[in-house]
Amino acid sequence: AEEKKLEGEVTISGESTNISGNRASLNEYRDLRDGFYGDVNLRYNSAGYFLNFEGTDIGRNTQSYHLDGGKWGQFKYFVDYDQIKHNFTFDARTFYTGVGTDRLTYTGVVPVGGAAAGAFTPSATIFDYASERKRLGAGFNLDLAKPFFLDVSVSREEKKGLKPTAAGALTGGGYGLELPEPLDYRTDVLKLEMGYATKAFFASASLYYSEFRNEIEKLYHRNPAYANTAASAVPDVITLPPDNSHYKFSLKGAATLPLNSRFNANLGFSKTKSEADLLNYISANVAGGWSAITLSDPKFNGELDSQNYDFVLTSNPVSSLDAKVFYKYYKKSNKSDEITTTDGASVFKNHLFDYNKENIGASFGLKLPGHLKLTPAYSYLKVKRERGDFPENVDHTYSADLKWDGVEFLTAKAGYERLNRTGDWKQIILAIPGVGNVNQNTANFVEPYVRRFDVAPMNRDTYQVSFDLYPTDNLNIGIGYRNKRTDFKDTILGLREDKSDEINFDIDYTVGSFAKFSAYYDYEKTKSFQFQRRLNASPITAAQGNPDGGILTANFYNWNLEQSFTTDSFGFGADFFVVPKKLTLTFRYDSVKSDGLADYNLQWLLAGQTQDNIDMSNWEDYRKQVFQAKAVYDATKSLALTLGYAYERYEYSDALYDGYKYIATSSTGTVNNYLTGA
Amino acid sequence: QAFAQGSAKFAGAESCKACHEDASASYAKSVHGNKAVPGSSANRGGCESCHGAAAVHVEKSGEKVPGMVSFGNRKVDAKLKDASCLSCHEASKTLAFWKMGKHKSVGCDSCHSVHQSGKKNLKASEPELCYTCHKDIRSQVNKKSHHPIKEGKVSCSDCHDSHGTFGKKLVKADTNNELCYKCHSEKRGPYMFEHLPVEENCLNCHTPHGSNQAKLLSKKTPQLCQACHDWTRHPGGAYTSYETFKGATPSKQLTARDCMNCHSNIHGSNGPSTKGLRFVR
Repeated sequence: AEEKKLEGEVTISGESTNISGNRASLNEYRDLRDGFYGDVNLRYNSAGYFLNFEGTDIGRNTQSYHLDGGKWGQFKYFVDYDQIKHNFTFDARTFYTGVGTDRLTYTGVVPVGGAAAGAFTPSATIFDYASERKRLGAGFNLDLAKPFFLDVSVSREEKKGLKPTAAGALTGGGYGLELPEPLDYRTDVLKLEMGYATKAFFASASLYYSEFRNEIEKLYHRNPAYANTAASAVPDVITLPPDNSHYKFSLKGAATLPLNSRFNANLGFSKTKSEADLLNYISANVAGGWSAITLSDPKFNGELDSQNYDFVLTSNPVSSLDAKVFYKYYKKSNKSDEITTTDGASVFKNHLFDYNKENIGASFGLKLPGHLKLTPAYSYLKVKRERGDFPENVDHTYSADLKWDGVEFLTAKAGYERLNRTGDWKQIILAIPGVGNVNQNTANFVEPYVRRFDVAPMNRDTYQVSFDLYPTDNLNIGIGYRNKRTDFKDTILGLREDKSDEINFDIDYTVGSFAKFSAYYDYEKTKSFQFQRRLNASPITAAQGNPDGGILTANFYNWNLEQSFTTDSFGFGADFFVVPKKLTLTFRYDSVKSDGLADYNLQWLLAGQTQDNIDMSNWEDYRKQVFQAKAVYDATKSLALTLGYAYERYEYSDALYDGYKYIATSSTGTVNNYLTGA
Repeated sequence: QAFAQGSAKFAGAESCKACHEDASASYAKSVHGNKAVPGSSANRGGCESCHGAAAVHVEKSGEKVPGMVSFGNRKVDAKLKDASCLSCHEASKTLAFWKMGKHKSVGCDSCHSVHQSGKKNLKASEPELCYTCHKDIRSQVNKKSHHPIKEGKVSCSDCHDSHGTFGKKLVKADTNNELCYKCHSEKRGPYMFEHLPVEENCLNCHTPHGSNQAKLLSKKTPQLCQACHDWTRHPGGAYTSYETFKGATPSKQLTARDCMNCHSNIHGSNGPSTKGLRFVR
């Protein structure tokens, strides 16, 4: 007879909340509020068929549903829906109307700057910076014709909301203008994979297609600095992400070889395209509020192609050797339009960036006497890119991992990795060299000292050690330590040193059928050091640009900054099975805390400044504490009652936000920012 | 079937049940114990199809004998345990690249329990299961700025394939950017004005598991930006406590969203003229 079985759980929860202070921070990815919500989990089986349904947070803006079913060994399908809320700031404000649309405007006069702006009290539009993703997906897997398989899935995700953007005005000496950017995105995805899978041989071909649509590709706004007196004047514009389409075709394969070896390959080709109508004017501080520019093509067609080839050979010819050799080649080709822009005296083209990477390496897992396993590895990576300062980098990475499990109750691991990055610096050639090459001359005087950290030559050492102890069946202890140090050895201006220390600890202990305890502690200390030069003039001379040139004035001086962050988090919890299988009490406390410091050292101090009072001690300082208590009573075999209480406290202090002002003026009355609270 | 008949080598499932009652009960409820599932161990010799022939073990009153595999025991060689799992599961796209991944050294039973009936037979749900070994990631995810991993909206397996991939760190893509763009498709561009480090690797500026800085930035702005953009005028300025809201000369280059108070399109821009070039439109 057929065995049919339906089982599952339905949970209905009532929640009463009391939130004070910054609601957005506590609710960043959640939807905490008074009311009821539910969870459902149902499973049905019948003679080889199965059907599962899961719903969580039903009734909230974080709800999700997943339905899957099929016939074992033949086919499977699923349908799912998920909502993700992301809250940034509640009750933000702006003097603009039209928030959420592609046109922001205001009535009356907003001062361009100066003392008048300091006294300006705009009427405000109140809004929330928040976004919401809603994703609906479905898929089908066919295994009926094994070893052949077919997987298909589609999804649509919509993302709507507001995030902060900005439009600075009057060049670098002007003010920042923060604006709410509307999000109205849609992304459709199709995945298709078919293949053949046996133990000895695997081959598949897959297609990934993704289409992104943005309903609002430009944010028009009336900028107080430009077209100040006429709301109908040509507005200022911020360009937003353009529509794009992306497809990728991949071939993957693996074949078993003699000597317990396997050869694996992955070939991928992709194309990403976009299209944007370009603006033929820029807002400017001129009578008309804008000035015309000339473009060689009013439409920009973006096109990026990529090729990827991976080949990996794994081999385990004898039990004491486990080897892997790999080669990877990746190339990104930029086939976008190269457009010539003429803006007054400036004539320039957009730079078409592309790059390729070649990576080859090997690792050898060696079983040694005394329950030791040693895995030395080496990797060589060469990057070539269309970039002025470092068109090429070579990385040599050496590593060794050692594992020992010589006793029943302990596994110990130690590891070391050394990365040596090399590269030859070149002088960059500016897109806009300036009249009389004045900008290029400046570049020639500054750039020789600058090494950008993403490409700068460096040495990095990483040490790590960990112990996993399990002295008894009911006690587990884990301890780990990692030290990482990066030395950007050729850098004069820029990031010179980066280091971190991490400690991780956890323990769990079970006391028979009475209780279960667990605790963890994580500690991290990071430090970075950067050395910079103030160059408050343009153009500059070679001597002014030289950090060792001996020129020391209020406009030309060196400064350095050491930033440090100490972050620790810990938690402990206990489950007490007061009446086994009847009444369980759960308690849990978690805390995460970070303490930062920006320690400046300036070669030139202004009146009133000392090397100590310029530092910032509230540097992303925060602490979050969570306490939870829960009692679960299994009233009958099919009914459980839960009563819970949770307390959360979040504290945040940062020098960049303390004393927040929507319109900040300096001591001289100059407006610096029109902010919204983001 | 030799398995079920209790031959000289195999004891048969009923013999196992006599001593391992709890294990037999949980196994019977699991997918592996479901006879409706083609190829399940229930159709292939029950317990001994995974644990190995147990006749000698039974004859010796439960003594440990060579050739039998005990899952969940850390001291048993992972390869030996995995061989049992792979004998059925290797012929699938999920495990086609298992031998390339680092997890082959920890063994299937570190994460899966063959007797469980939960989702994918996992011993715990993500991310807690992954934190068992990756404690440093737990530390990152607890930080102020994080993907909604703790909140259950993003899971480790959304980005990583624990069963082996061609990508580094078991990432499910050929490059970091390709992975990030799967959720952040608006960042794909292609833009007329590109920010080169962005185009090459999102991780030049972002750290994916958690950060003390907003937006998962690896360093705090504006200093992160200044580390590359030391230049004449404002990019090279030393913005100290004097330039904060509470300072004597508040500066838009330091307060609130600092550089992004003007340079809003740092991921790329199709803006006009030099304003697009400088990512301010």
